[in-house]
Amino acid sequence: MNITQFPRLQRWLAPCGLLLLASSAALATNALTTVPQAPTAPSSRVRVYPNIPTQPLSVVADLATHVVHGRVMGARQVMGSDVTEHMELDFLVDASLKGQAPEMLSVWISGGPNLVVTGSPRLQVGQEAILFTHPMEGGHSGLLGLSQGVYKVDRSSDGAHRVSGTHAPAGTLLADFVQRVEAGVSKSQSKEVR
Amino acid sequence: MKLSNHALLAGLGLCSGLLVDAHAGGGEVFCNGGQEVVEAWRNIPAGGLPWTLNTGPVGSRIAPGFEPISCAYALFPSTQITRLPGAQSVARGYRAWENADDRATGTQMTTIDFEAQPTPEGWNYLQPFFVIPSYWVAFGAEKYDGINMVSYWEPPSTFSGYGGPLAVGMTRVKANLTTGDIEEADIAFNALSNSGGAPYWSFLEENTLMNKTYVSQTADLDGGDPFADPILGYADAEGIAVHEFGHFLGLGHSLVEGKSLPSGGTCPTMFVVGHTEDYSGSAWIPDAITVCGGSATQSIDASIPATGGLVGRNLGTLQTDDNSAIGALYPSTGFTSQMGAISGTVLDGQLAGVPGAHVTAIGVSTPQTNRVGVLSMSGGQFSIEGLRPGDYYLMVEAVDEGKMFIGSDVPNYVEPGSSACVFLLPVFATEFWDVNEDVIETATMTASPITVSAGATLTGKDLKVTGANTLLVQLAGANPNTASSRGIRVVPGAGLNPSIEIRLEEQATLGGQTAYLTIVPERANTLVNGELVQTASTSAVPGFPVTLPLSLDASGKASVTIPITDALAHHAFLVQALVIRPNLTLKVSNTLTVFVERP
Repeated sequence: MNITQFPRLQRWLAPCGLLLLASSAALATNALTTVPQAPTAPSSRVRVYPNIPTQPLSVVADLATHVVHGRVMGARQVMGSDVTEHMELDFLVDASLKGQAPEMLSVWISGGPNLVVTGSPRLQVGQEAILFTHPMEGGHSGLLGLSQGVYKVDRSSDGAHRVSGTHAPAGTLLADFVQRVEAGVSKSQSKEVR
Repeated sequence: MKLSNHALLAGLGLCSGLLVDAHAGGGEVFCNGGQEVVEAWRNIPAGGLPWTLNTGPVGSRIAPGFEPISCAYALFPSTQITRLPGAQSVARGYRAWENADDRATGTQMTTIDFEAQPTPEGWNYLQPFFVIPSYWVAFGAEKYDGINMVSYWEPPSTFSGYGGPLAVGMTRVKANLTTGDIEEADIAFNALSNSGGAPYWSFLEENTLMNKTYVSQTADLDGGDPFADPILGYADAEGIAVHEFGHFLGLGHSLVEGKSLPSGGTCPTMFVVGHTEDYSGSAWIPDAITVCGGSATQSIDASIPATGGLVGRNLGTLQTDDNSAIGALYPSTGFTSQMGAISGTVLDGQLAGVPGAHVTAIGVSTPQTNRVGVLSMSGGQFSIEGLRPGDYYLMVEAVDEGKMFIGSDVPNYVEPGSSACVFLLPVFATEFWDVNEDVIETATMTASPITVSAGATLTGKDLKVTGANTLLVQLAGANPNTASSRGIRVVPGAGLNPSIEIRLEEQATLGGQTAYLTIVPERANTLVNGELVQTASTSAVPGFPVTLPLSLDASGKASVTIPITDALAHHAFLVQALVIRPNLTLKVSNTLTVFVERP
């Protein structure tokens, strides 16, 4: 797999005349929408504290249903009751490191005006990332370990893609990280057929 | 309540409402239309704060009770719930807070008291703790039932949307948006089950009723049935319960990180990141609770050693920061009369208050264990309570977002001069209070001890920091993902003459304000009065820190390259885009640390 290229992304973006690696700003300005709901005056604030210990990368890879490399193409704040508020991200998958993910994942991130979820990651439209996901009902994908399941990918001046996240200190080369993930996935799969 | 702080802030016209000093490690505070409101239980019945253990039927997929947490013995009457296997660990969780006392003086810190109540007759198991959004819709279950329920949940998908199977537990707290009164709290433990509901909780309990000693079930951690591999390791039920009951009571996460101290202090129970105790090979750490029948080996990520062991064991014992935090929320007579406090304001170079700064009182004689931290309020005010009498250093440091759970642990603040709620992360060099505090130190820091007396609050201990006349500002979004953040990218250099390049990749608007980029080597390996108080190492970097005007081109973007001329292999820089206060009109930015590596 050529991890430095994004054929699907390029196909998707080409008609728009956008450069792949400079697309985040333009996308960020107009892709965020809020699903309209009947106005209600909230009377309470709910905090949720998920207790998520840091686990080895191999464990996260093992538990993930999908490990995907792609880019956030859109985001919608979905209102509702204070336990269902969430953000839905459209994540365009360029490569599946584990599982066969659809081309566009709907990623569910809990939280909203009346629901504060400790550990929810920040992901902006246009951000390239590797996501570790687990299935949710309704066809959505949840982030495994919330922030622990998100690795942001950025490009440095030397042209190299670099990853940052729980198990990827700043400056980690994307290729190295992917290799570690794939090693963890292989180990997991070999265990399943044992 | 900190009426003095309340009066002070109200007098400044910044905000009004119920106020306390603490965020991190103390009471949670939310910003509500110009008010900062602390969350706490204020309507506790005379018998104590009621809580109920879910003793639902075995096998209930929706809300299983506590029977299956052990080896599934007979269901006991609900009045004997604390004798159920697993339940004793939960009971220890709240009793730890009831018994919170200063470890050195024995002073009881809090009046908080719990009262266990039986599961209500005919109780609807659909109600207690619904965390699967679609389940809410499918079952039409009520969100809140007025019962503070502790439940044990399976399957792990219960935690969908909240970390999934990686989550070992979760606490939900509902507070009144106006008063901050906590109205209901629920705790859920993840069954961590995979094969037939086998749990991977670790506990050791004596059941006098059955004259049995219960321990958690075992599993082959290396080989055998792959579905029996508890790849998450074991979670210590008591430690997790203590942490969750801290949230139940309204406490947020602490930033007092004991394990980063030179000789290894102990992290508070409410520390932001759950720690996993270390083990090597097949040997569990000495103080690990015995697990049912098994040795434990586990292949761990070679690059991340010392993980995958017993989760949360260190959380079972409250530390000084925890004791002070719970005392500040629910103070006992002893807390008020036998402990002391330090208050003041974090000020920048223009003597404006700096909100969101982490202020820590460090015991001079026992710096590893005696640390209490708070975050400063909107006007920069802070008050650290629950200090045992003695000498303290007072340290202020910028919040490292990387050490917080990203997104939601940093509270919103009242923007100066308005009622807007904003997300602020001030950035400045770590500073200690000293008798010459008016002099801002840039090289060697000095610290003067502050003597705390019982029952007294030392006021006016203002901390002046450099660089904090500038604030990083991010709009507070409804969801962290909606927060505005302008893309400053830091690009590490390479080659014989490395440099760092900083590019503002998203269009910015300065709004007529003067803005700067600053690049500051991380301050670390710092000696204060000869004592090592920070651990990481760095050296002076020629040419840094540097501050450059932020000049935008016609497209609203900017780029600057700064060469690095010394021969060191690694540098860590803090890069900031700044705007001069008081007009916080420039909504910037990311703060990044970059490591510059030479080939």
